[in-house]
Amino acid sequence: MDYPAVVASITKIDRRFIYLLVGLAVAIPLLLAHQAEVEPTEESMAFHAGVSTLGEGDVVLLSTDYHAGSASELNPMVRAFATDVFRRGARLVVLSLNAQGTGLVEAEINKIAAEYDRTYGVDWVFLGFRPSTPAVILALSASPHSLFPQDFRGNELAELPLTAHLNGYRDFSLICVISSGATAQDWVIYGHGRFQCPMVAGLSGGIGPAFQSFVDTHQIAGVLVGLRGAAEYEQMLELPGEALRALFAQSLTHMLFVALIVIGNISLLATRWIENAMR
Amino acid sequence: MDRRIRIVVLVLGILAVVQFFVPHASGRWVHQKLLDWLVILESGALVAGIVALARHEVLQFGASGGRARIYPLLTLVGLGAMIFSGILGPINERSLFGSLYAWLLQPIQATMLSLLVFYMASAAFRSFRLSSAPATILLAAALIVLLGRVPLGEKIVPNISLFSTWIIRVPNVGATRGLWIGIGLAGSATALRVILGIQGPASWKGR
Repeated sequence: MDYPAVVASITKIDRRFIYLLVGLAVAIPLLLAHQAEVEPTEESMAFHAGVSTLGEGDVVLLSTDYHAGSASELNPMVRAFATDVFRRGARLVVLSLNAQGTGLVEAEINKIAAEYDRTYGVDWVFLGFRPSTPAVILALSASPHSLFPQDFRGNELAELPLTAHLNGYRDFSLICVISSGATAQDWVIYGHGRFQCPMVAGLSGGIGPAFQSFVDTHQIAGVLVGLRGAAEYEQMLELPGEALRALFAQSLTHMLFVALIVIGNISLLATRWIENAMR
Repeated sequence: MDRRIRIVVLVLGILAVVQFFVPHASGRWVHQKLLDWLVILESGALVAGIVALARHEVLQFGASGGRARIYPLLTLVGLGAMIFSGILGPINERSLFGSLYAWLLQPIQATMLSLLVFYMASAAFRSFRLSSAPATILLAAALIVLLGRVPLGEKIVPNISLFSTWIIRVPNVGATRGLWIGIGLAGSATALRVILGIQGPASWKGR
């Protein structure tokens, strides 16, 4: 066998073949709709424990600060969180510190609210988007009425039963931030740091590790990271959904990455070994 | 003009710092007013950004020829469609704005981010190599985290998640904590430079 030629052909593999493998690794598990099983991490269990403290009538602030690109891993978190809150009889005030977040969450929460027979204005309200993240977080320490005179649907906040008497963070039992960017850091600094609001977070996989230090210091009580975090939460709630289905595709893609890295390095070492042997 | 801007920045900056330590109602009132103004100014900046983008794309359309004209044209049409559908109609999932958002913007953005996976796979095969000691450490850490973060990895290599969790909780936290502290110190230093007027007036004008 012509070993140098074999090794050279592996090293020069067409990138389109790699793209095809990635496509198959993602598409096949999604088409098979296989549900993964996952062992919850301590951080995810702490997130769930944070939500478990909520009781009937408690008010929760949910900030959905992400764009459409992160929706596949963060939308399942929002769905599971809203379901968890409504199941406990708590109420939800939702806002977005990313302009694109408004289009992503309203419809999702609307569906879940209808499923649990929750009334808009009484059990949940969507405030919409405001620019300037730190200013909005700080301003919410007082009545939200000056910053949000109307909700996303154009209702006067002072006339809605849920928001008429809201008077800042002391009225929220929990803050949940679902974020794909730096807004989670602003919530830690300005929301928790200054007003000591109990806080949990759902973060995209790319930024999750950067926030581990805030979990260790208990500035964030619990955190869900990426699609795996969403899948763990779905499993803890016994609410199998999109994240548990997509996790198998993510697993296979990770395995493909590992295989590509290993094959790439073996071919490199083999090339070096052959070159040395031929000298 | 520059002098007046410096004085306004100095007074407002000191006011914002002082109110933090004054729990009196007047301090809170000042704080709330400053925050209201900040949100108003940022909303104005958004409008200025949209105008600047539209102007840039119109100029690009005029300057470019042939097929290259399609890109500024698409940007302008997209910008106009989103703005006018939002202003003229309601904003909900059944409206024109909601449909443009759900059926165009959302898939486009999701596709853009998803494409990264394909390029990362190709780059991992070609470039993630045992070329030096630091690269080898990085490679080992990447393999452990890739395997340890998914259920299939745990089945293939039992207890690998213990190692990946250690990497995320210890070396990762050490590095990111250093970064956060550095960012905090640099941010405070820059804020002080702006408040005290050390930062040159040219930078205030965005030059």
